Amino acid sequence: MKKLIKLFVAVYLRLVVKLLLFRNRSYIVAITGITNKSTTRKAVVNALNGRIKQSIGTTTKGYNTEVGLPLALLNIELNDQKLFTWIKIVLVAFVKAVILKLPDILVLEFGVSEKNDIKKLLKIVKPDIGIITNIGFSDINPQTSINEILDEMKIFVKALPKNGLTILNADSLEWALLAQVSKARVVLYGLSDNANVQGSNLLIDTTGTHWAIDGYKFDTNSIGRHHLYAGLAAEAVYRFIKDYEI
Amino acid sequence: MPRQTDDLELSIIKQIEIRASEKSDVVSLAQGIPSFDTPDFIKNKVIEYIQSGRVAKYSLAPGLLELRELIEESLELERMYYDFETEIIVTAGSIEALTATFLTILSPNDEVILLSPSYVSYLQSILIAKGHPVYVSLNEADGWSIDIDKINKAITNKTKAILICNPNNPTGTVYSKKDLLSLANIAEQNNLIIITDEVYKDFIFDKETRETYFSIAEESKYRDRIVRIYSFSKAYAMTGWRVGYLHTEQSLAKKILAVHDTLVTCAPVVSQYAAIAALQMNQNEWKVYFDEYKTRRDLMCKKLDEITDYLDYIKSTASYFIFPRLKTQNIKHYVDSKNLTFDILDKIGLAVVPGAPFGPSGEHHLRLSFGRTQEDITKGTERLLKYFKSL
Repeated sequence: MKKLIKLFVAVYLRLVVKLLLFRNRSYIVAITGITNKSTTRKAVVNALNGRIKQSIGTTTKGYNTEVGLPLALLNIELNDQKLFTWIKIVLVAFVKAVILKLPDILVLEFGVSEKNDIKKLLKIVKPDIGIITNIGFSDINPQTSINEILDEMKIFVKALPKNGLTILNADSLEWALLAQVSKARVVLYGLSDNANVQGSNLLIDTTGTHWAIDGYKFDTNSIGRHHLYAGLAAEAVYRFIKDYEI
Repeated sequence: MPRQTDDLELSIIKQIEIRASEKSDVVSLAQGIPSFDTPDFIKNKVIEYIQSGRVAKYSLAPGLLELRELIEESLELERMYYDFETEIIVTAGSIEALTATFLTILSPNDEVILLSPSYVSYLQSILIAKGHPVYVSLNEADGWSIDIDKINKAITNKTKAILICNPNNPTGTVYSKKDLLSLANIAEQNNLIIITDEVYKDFIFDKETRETYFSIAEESKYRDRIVRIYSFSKAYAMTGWRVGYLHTEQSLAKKILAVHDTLVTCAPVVSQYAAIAALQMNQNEWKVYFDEYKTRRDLMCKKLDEITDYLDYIKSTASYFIFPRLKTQNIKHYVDSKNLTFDILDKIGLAVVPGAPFGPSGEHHLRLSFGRTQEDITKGTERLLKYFKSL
């Protein structure tokens, strides 16, 4: 019974969100990978905010699954799994889908931990720009192999439109495998020489993480190499949106 | 041949709880256990994770990547910047974090300065790592504040670390930013590590104190010598799940990780999922619990106001403990806090914790927990009054 309710809610929310997105026609930037999705999402929002004329929006933490993503887009919080809560959500979701005004650009996370996760999310949202942070063993689900995660990423890349953008980590081993299935233009980011958005002068110290792109300095108080990657991917998004006047 | 564990004994809090469990109709204001169950949101999420087959295997030694990422994000909201990949370790509760840290940093007979009174089990953690605890009294007359001069004087060439509990268990004190920075300065001058246990940081009842709460780990200048510890036990009513974390600069984290791996391999994976759910939970839900704890504190203070012939107390700013001082001259046949506690348990069925095990300046105090229900608080304090009057 519980499974049936969950299935119904998932299908219903998908349809409702389709209505919401159809009404608003927001431009979608989606981020997937094993880790660093949330940091990259925030970095993209920071990189775009105030630098382009369009309005930017994003979701909150953890809302990156088949049910979580629609709820995030509809701006609905799920605090418990009681039947009454779901009934309320079903009613509120439709109203929100009809009246909610979304920003011009939406930055979303696509959570992936097992086979078909990406397919399910693509049924809800079709991204225009896709970022892959990294691919590796997902310890969030020991039942899933790296190859299965890689296949999910290929599905994600294949779904990006011709006039869209695939943003891949040049420092990862898998970028070439993913680039070859992309219809969209591919931009690489990283420290490697083949990166289109190449970071340099990386410094991590007690004050934060610091790097440069084409001579321009970037800093964050946050510590760790993953912040560099988030920043580089975000810059790739900014450049594309600016150059192509999305 | 003496063994390392010969000096260890079960902490007094657990001794009291065991003795209390052997009796009927005991009201316990002893152990720091929230009376609430773990929130439904967390339990339901964990059930989903169990059913999808995700909890049966070890995680990576430092913990699930997703959990560490969430921890990094939650720390950033509190102005603390640590790399989830190399500087955060998920542990089997805060006491494992503490023990792993001491086993890492101490050589035999190294000294650790700890404030008195502070949490009972710190002592055992230091002893098991062959360290030597050096108590420095807090200033009770000044609301249990830190006495920086006394700390300075207690430092020797064997001192390796200073351990603080902020907010402090059992006094409920929140230390000032000024004192904490002075402490960090002392640590810098003497090349010491500061271990800060902040499991009660979510229980600060005064709005202004809560909004200006300062963790020493916010100060990036000192991040190379800070180990900060947090547990999900108290704020999320998850004491039984045994999950917490520590964060510190990466070279020390790497060393602690090796010890953590030796002790527990990894924190219980099912509990790590519970921690993920806790961090994803709408944090406004916590307000319901918080308001109730505040009500309970006020109730306990009101009830203690009826016993002022026998004790006086400083109203707790934080945590869920009050640490009243006994007016020993008014208590007939008084020997010490430990004897009194066992007598109270035996005669009127009330479990409370004696002050002495919290450190030398804890003697002649009792620790009372208001983590329990309002009914328990009312019953317990009424029994205490009855006990004193019956002497």
